[in-house]
Amino acid sequence: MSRARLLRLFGLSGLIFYSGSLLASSLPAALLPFGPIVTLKRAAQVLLHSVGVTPGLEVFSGQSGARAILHMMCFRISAVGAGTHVLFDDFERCHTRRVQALRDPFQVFQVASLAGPLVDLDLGYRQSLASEPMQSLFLLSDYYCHVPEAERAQARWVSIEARYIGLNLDDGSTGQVDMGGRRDCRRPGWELRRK
Amino acid sequence: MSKLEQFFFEPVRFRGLFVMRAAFGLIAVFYYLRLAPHLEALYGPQGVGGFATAQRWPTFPFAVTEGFENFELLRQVSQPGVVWALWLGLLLSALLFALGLCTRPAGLVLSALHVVFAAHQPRLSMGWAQLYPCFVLYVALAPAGRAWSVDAWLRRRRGRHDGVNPAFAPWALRLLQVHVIAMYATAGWPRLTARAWLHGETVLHAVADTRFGRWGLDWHGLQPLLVFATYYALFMEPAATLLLPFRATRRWCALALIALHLGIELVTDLGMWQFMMIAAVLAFLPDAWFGKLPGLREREGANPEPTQAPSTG
Repeated sequence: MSRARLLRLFGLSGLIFYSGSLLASSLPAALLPFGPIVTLKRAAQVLLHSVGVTPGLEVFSGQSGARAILHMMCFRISAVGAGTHVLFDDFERCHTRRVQALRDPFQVFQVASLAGPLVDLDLGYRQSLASEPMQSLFLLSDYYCHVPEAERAQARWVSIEARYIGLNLDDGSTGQVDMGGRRDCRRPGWELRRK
Repeated sequence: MSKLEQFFFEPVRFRGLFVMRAAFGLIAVFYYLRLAPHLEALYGPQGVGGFATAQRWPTFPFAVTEGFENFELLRQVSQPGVVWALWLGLLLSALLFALGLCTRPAGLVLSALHVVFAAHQPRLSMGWAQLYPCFVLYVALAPAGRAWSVDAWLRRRRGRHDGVNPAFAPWALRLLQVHVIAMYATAGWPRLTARAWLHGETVLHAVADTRFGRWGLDWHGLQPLLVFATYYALFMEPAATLLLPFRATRRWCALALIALHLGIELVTDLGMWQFMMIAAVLAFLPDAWFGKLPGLREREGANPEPTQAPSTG
C-alpha cells in the first residue's frame, strides 16, 4: 500500500471519528433515555468539549412552565461613598416601555449578567456570589466599584436598583417589581435592598 | 473507493464555498466593529472580569464559559494596548477572510482570535460565538480562496487560472455539513419534550421579552401568528436533521431554514446567530444557484481542470 494511500486512510478514519462524535453528541437522549445512548452522548460531549468544540446549543429550551415571563428590566447603578454617584441609569426606558430594534452590546451584556442573579436573590434563593449563577453579578459589581467615576467618589459600595416588568402570558397584562441591593466593594457579599 | 471515502474525498464543484467565506468574514467584521466603543469595558484589563479583577480576587472562582474556558487568556493581559492589538488583528483577519486575501491563514487567525475574545465574555454572544470558530475553521481548511477572492485575482495576474468553479476534495465542507446537522439535532429534538414549544408559546416568550424582541408590539394580540411560527420552528429544526442529508429534499429544506432564520432575525436580536446559521446552511444549496452571482458565472472553456467532478446539491 502506498504512503499516500495510507495517509488518506488515516485522514479518513479521523474524519469519521470526528463526524461520529458530532453526531453522537447530538443524539436525542431526552426522547430516547436509553442507557447506551445517554452514555455515548455524554462521552462524545466530554471529548468535544475538551477541544473547545460545541456541537450545538438550545437557545430557547422552552422547558419552563411559568405563566409569567420577563418583559423588560432596567437598572440604576450607583457608587456610594461619601456621596452617591450614579454610574448607569436606564430607568426611563422602563417608564416609557421603549423597545430598541438595535441595542447597545454593553446593555445586552449587562441585562444578561444581572437579570438572573437579581431575580434569584429577590426570590430568596440567597446564594454566595461565588456560586456560578451569581458570578456575573460579582464581576459586574466589581467592575463598577473600580470605574474611574467610582474611584473618584471613593466608593465603598455599589448599589444596583432594578425594575422588573413581567408579562402575564395568559391575559397579556404586565406587572412591576422593584428589586436590588448593594455590594461592599471590599468583600464579595451582597446585601439585599430592604422592601 | 468506499462510500465514506467518496463522501469525504471525491472532488466536487461548489461555488457556495466562496460565498460562505465572504459571509463568515463579514459577520465577524460587523460584530467586532460594533464592540469597539465597549472594548475596554468588556475585554480590557480594567473591564468586567479582566486582569485587575483577577489581581484583586486571586482566589475567587471565576465563571466557566461553557466551552471555551481552556482558552481564557485575556484575564492574563495587563496592558489595554495588547487587547486593542488583538482586536485589530481579529478585525483585519476577518476582513482578509471576507475578501479572500491570504485566505487560509486569515481564516485560521480569525478562528483562534475569536475563541480568545468569546472565552472572556461568554454571556455577550447568546451562544452563537461557540459554534462560529468551527464553521470558520472548516471553510478556511477548504480551498475557499480559489475563486471570488483577491487571492484568485492575484493568481490570474500571475497566469495561473483555476476558473470560477474549481473542483476540490470536499472533506472540510462535509465536516461543516455534518456539524450543521448536529446543531439542528441538538437544538431541535429536545424541543419535542418541552412544554412551551408543545403549547406553541416559545416565539411569544422570545418576542415579548425585550432582552431579545426587537419591537414593542402588542404580541398577545398576534398570538395565532406566533403559535404558527412556534410550530414551524418546532417542525423545521428536527426535520432538518432528516431532510438535509438527502439530495431530493436538501435544497428545499435549506430554503425553509433560511426563511426561518430570516424570520427570527426580523423579530428578535440574538446576536449573530441567524446570520451565522444562514451562512452555514448555504452549504446545502445547489452549486448552480451560486452561478447566478456576479463573478461566479462559468464561461465556456473557462474551467481548465479536466476533472468531471459532480456539483453539490
